[in-house]
Amino acid sequence: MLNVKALSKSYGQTRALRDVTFRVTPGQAFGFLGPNGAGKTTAMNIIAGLIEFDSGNVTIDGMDLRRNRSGLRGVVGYLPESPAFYGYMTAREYLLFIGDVSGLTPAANRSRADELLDTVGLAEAGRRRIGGYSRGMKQRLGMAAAIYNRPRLLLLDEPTSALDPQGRLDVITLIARMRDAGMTVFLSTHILADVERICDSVAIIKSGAIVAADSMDRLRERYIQPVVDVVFDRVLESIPVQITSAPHVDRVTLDGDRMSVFMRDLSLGKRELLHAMANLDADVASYSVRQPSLEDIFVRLVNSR
Amino acid sequence: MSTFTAYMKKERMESSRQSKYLILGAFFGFFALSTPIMLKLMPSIIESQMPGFPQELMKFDTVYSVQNYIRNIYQLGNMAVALVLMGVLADERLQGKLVYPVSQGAGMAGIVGAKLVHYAAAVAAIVFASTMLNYYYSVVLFPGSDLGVAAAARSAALLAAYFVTRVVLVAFTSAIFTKPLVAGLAALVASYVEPIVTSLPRCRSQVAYSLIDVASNSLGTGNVGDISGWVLAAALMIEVAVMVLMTVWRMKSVEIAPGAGAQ
Repeated sequence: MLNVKALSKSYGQTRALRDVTFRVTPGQAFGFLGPNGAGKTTAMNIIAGLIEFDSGNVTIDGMDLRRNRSGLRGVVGYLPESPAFYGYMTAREYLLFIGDVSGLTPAANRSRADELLDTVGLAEAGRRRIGGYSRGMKQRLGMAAAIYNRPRLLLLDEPTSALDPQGRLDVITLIARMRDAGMTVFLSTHILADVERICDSVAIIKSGAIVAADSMDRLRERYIQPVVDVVFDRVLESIPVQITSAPHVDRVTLDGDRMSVFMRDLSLGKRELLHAMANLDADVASYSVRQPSLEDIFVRLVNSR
Repeated sequence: MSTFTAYMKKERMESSRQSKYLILGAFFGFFALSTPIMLKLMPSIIESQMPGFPQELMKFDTVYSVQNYIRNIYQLGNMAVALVLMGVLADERLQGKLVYPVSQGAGMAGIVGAKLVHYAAAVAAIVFASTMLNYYYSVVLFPGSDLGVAAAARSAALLAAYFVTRVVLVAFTSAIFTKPLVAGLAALVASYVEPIVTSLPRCRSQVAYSLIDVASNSLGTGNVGDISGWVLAAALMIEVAVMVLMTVWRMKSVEIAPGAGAQ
C-alpha cells in the first residue's frame, strides 16, 4: 500500500529525514513512533503530498507520489496534528466544502456529510460554527474530513495528543473501526499505549532515521529484554553480588525493597536468579516476570543508539 | 473545475460572514457620498474660517467632484483593498487551512483562480457602483453640468479596472510573503510608487496608474496626453496574466503544511 524507500529531506543544514525506509501492507494499522522532533510530521507531510522531498522514493498503491499527485486524489486521507478549519463555517458546511473539492455530486455530498457527522459523534453540533468547537471536537471533525473521500490510506499525525482520556478513547475506537473496515492506517504518535492497542506493525524513528521497523510480534521477540521484578520484605542496602555476577543477568536496578533484574536469557536466568535469591538474608515478598511492552522497546532503541 | 467551484462558493461565504463586502462597500460608498458633500460645504467652511477668501476659486462642478473622488479613492481605496485582502493566500498558508483541501486533491490553479475571480468581480462591482453613486450626488449637488451618464460610467469602468489590477497585485504579494501584513504593505508600496514610474519616458502607457489618469482626465478636457488606450490595455493584460501565473507558480512551489521548515 505504502512503500517508502531511502527518503531524505533537509531544511537548510538540518537533515530532517535520513534514508527513511519502511513498507505498509494493505489493511494494516502501522504505528510511526518517535520522540518529539524526530521527523514524524515531516514524513507524514511528504506522504500526504504537502511538501517536497530531496531524494528517495514514495509509492502509494503502486503509484509514484511525485508523478501521480492528481492520480492519488481519493487514495490518501490526512489528519494533521492541529487541523485548521474555517471558523466561520459549521462542521456540516466544512464537510460539504471538502466534498465539493473532491468533486462529489450535491446529493452524494449531503448524504456523506450527514453520515460522517454521525460517525464521529458531531451530528448535533454539526450546525454550530467550528470557531466555538473544543480541541476534541475539532479532532473528530478532522477525522471526518480525512476520511471524507473514502481513502484507502489514512494518515493520522498525533491524532490523540492533547485530548482528554475520553476523547482519546473515542478517537482510538474510531481508528480501530476504520482499520476493521479495511482501510490502511498510518499512525504517527508518541503515545505508545495507543499504538499497542491498534497497530499491527511499527517503525521507530530517531533523529530522522529509522531505528527499527517490523511487526509488533517480531519487535517483541527481537528487542524485548526480559525483566524479573522482585520485591523483598525489607529494604536492601545494596545489590547482592551473587545476582549481578550470575552469567545470564545483564544488569540490575534497586529501588528500596524493589529490584529489577534485566536478563540476557530469561529461561536460563530465571533458574540462576532463584538459586541466588535463596542464599540472600532477605525474604522474597513477590517475584514476577514483567510483560514486555512497546514502551520498553521504544526506550531501549531510542536511548541505545 | 471542482476546486474552482468549491472555492468560489467558499469565498462568497467567507466574504459575507466576515463582512468583507460590507467593509469594502461602506468604505468606497462613504467617500463616494462624502466627496461631493464636502465640496458643496467647502465654500461656507472656508468663508467662516478665512473671511475674504476669493469665492471664484471655489466654484466646483460635477466634473470636478467626480475627478476629486477618483483622485482620493486611488490613495484610500488602495489601502482598503490591501488591508482587506492581504491575507487572501498568506493567511491560508500560515494557518495551514490549505492542508485538507490540497490533501483531498484541490488544485492550486483552481484555488488561486477562484479567489482572483471572486475578489476581482466583487471589488470591480463595488468600485463601479460607488463611482456612479458619486456621479449621481455630484449631479444633484452641482446641477447644470453637461457630464453624461455614459462618460461617468466609462470612468467608473476604468477605475474598476484599476482596482482589479490591485486585487491581482495583492494576491501576488500574498503568495510571495507568508505574513499578511508584509504582503499588504508590499502591495501598497508598489501601488504608491507607480505614479513615479509614469513620469519616466514611454512608461505612461505601461502601468496601471494610467487608468486613474485616463478615468479622471477624460471627464474634463478629454485630454489623456500621450497615453495610448490600446497599448495600455495590452500592457495591463500582459502584466495581470504574468502576475496570475507567478501567483499560481509560487503557490505550487511553497510548502503549505503548517510548520514546514521548522524542524
